[in-house]
Amino acid sequence: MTIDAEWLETEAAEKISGATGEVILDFSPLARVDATTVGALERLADLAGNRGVRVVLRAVNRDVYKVLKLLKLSDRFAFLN
Amino acid sequence: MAESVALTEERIAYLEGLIRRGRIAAALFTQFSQEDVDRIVKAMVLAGQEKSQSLARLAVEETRIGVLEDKSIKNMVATEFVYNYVRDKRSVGVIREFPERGIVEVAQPMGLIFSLIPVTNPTSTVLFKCILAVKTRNALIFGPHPKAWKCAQEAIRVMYEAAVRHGAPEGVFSCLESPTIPDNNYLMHHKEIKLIDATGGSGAVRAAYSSGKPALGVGPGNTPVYLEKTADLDMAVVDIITSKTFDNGTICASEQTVVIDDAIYDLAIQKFADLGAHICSEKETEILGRMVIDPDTGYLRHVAIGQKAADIARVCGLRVKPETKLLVAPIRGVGRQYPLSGEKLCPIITVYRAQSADEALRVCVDVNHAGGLGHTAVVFSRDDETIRRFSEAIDAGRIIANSPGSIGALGGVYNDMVPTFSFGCGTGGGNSTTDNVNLYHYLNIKRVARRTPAHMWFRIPNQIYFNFNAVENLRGLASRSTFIITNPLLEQMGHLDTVRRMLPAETAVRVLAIPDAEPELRVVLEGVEQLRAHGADQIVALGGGSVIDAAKLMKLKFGSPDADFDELAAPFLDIRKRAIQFPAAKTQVRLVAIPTTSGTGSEVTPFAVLLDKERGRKVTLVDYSLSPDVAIVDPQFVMSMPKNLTADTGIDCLTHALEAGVSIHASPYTDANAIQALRLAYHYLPIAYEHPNDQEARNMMHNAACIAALAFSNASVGVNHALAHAFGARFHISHGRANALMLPYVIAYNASVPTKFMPSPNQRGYTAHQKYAQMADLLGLGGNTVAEKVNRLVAAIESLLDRLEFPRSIADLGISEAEFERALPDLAQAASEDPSWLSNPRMPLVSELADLFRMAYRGRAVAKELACV
Repeated sequence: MTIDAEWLETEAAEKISGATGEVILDFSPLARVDATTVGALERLADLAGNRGVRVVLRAVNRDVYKVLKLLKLSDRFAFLN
Repeated sequence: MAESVALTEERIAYLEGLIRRGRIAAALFTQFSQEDVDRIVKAMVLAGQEKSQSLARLAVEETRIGVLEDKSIKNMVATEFVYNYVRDKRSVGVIREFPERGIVEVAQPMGLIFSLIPVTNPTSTVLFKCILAVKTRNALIFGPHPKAWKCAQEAIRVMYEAAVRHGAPEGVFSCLESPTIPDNNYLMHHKEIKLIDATGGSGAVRAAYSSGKPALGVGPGNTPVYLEKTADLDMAVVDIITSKTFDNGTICASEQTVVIDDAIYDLAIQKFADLGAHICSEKETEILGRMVIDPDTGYLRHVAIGQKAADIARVCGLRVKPETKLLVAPIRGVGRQYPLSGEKLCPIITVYRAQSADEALRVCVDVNHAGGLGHTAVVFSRDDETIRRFSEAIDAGRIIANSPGSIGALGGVYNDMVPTFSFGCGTGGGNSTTDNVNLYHYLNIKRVARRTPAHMWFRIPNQIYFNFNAVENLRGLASRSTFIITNPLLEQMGHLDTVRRMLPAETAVRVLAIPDAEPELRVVLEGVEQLRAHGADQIVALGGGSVIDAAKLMKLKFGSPDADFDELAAPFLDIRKRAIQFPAAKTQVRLVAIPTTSGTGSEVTPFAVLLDKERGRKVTLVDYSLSPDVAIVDPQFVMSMPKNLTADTGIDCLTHALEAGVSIHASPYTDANAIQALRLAYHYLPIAYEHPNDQEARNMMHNAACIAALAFSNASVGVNHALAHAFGARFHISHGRANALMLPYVIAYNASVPTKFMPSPNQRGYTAHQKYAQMADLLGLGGNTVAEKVNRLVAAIESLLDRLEFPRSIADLGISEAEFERALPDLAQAASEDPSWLSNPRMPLVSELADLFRMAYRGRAVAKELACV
């Protein structure tokens, strides 16, 4: 599985749209984020916020986590090892 | 730059968009490896080099400043030379390691940087900063000078496309469109801008520093040049012309006023003229100053910046040859009345004839202070002393010696300075650095500092002789003239004769009997006089700690007459790092110590106590040079020690062993001695006390005292001694007795959880309780847990004190509770000021010292169940 902007905009967004409570997304395949992925994550966080869904990102690597932290996106997700 | 009253919402949205892109790029950049950024940088450098000529042309066309060929060279320097400097340098992760210091430096990007670009060097500065930013994984928003916007924008585009094509995050560089001062202010104050790199005019630099943001502000200069009479004149004149005409003088490090020694002035001026400079007359200088300098600001008018010399002359109405490279204007002073004495970013240079080196330096300082503080200065001289004096007199981040100022300051061409297009001007220029700004200024450098235990030591006298009749070893110590220091009682007891008999027959002997009390300054100085008169090459100290201490001090003063006891007694935390140093002896004399008590261990220690009665104080000197050269630990001299002295000195020995054992300076070497001394003293002290004629007990206690001293000479003592010193001094109680009163409570105190830990790089964790438990094991006291063992050690010490018939509380000494309570604040304060506790395993609070005194006052109050760590 590839985690990229397209996956986030489609599959991940569908999961969140159909969920109540919590959605866990496995981020272990994601080695590095780019600008489009950041944009998609922002939109995903907006979607989850609007639907009252808690999005848990599992196995986020150190570098990606640092990016989310710097962009203050880490506050909008939960994390699971 | 266009001024506007306020930013529109639309403009703010635009600026926020730039910031958002840059911020994301900076965050994404943190994922990049060294290899990633090096690959991108290389691509950018090649792209910049390829465009160096076209970017130079754009810059000249747009700004109408400078020289195409020179701008092209600047672009090459900004790429090739800067790359040559950064290419092999690490800027990601671990960037430098200092294994011998245990320090590792780790790079962290700063984030989003706002960068101002000057009109004088727009494209080269952009190329330079883009390379630095990518090398350090930062993103940049550029705010070019509006009159250089197009060429700067093009340079940014060239760099950006190369960078992104090779993997840099999108948005890594952006450029303000139609920049205004409010734009700059908005960005300078934005929370997402992490650094401002302001290369430009003084206003921009001031604004950057005023923003409250970390900033690199690099502003104008006013470079003085000292052309000294020993200079290589041909080289100097060519260098100055080369530098001052480079890009028509737009580099702010370029020469402004040349101060020329009278002896070479005429020749130098002739050489300038010969090489294409026009030497202005007084009238022409006046016209030039009036025409090119704005009288209101004192700055060069914009129209003259970076223009050709002939063009400037023409505009000013001066008649010069069309090929004139440089206008040389003689001046007679510096300041507003000499308009040309300030910065002139064009091919006009002022010259000053100095009648002496002092005058030359003074004028250079004047130029330096007339707008050039912290920036750049130039000196041409073959005399190193002249260069040194110049460098000390001038406030400049770059002192360029025997080379062109502008190209020299850029670094990498004429010297090994760091290549840059941003000159830090230090506090003189209102800047935070005097460096040539480089990649390290774009990094937060984190330092991983590994624990580095200091090397330790174990220093003891050269020779220690022990057991009965060890004094016979004196025979083997050749001496022409020996000085025996002792006290009257030992003389009466016949010990002095015993020692005298052991000295070789040919040795001249002189005896000084001193009082058996802590040595007074007067006694020490009198002894030194006699040593000098006697011309001694050996001192034999026969006595207790006081006599041996006196001998140590006499030896010190004898060998180093200038030794200042007051200064040498200065307190210190670490003997290796203390401020004072003991003098090396000018006259060598051997010190042999023969102790007549078994406790202080002064025969091997580096300590000496001195009583300064005139000032009513006692000082302790500490230095390994004070340690005796030879110790003779012969028990025959302690066989007749009275019981109370046996107990007092013996418990001092025991306290030394216990305190050295748990000291923060304890080492396996000191532990070995501390533990052995404890074992001997614990076993033999009561026997020596109860059976004074028991030779084995006396011998072993004498050895124990010396061995304990070997331990505490290197590990020091602890809070027990601090308390005992304070209490003994206040109530005139013997040192051993005072130690005994405190000992059980101090063990319990050190074995419990500290309120404050003592910084102790050589210890791993808190171990005092465990070391006490080990001591209990060694003494065979039993117990299963650490706490049980410590309890048994305390109980064993209490039993020993009982057996030695010590008073077991301060109250037992006949001190009333009221008197004690009155004294308590002073006691606690005195103990807290005593340096002995500095090696204690736990840091005593003043309140805790008071509590310890209170426990000792009540006596027999050690909790039966200690709360061990």
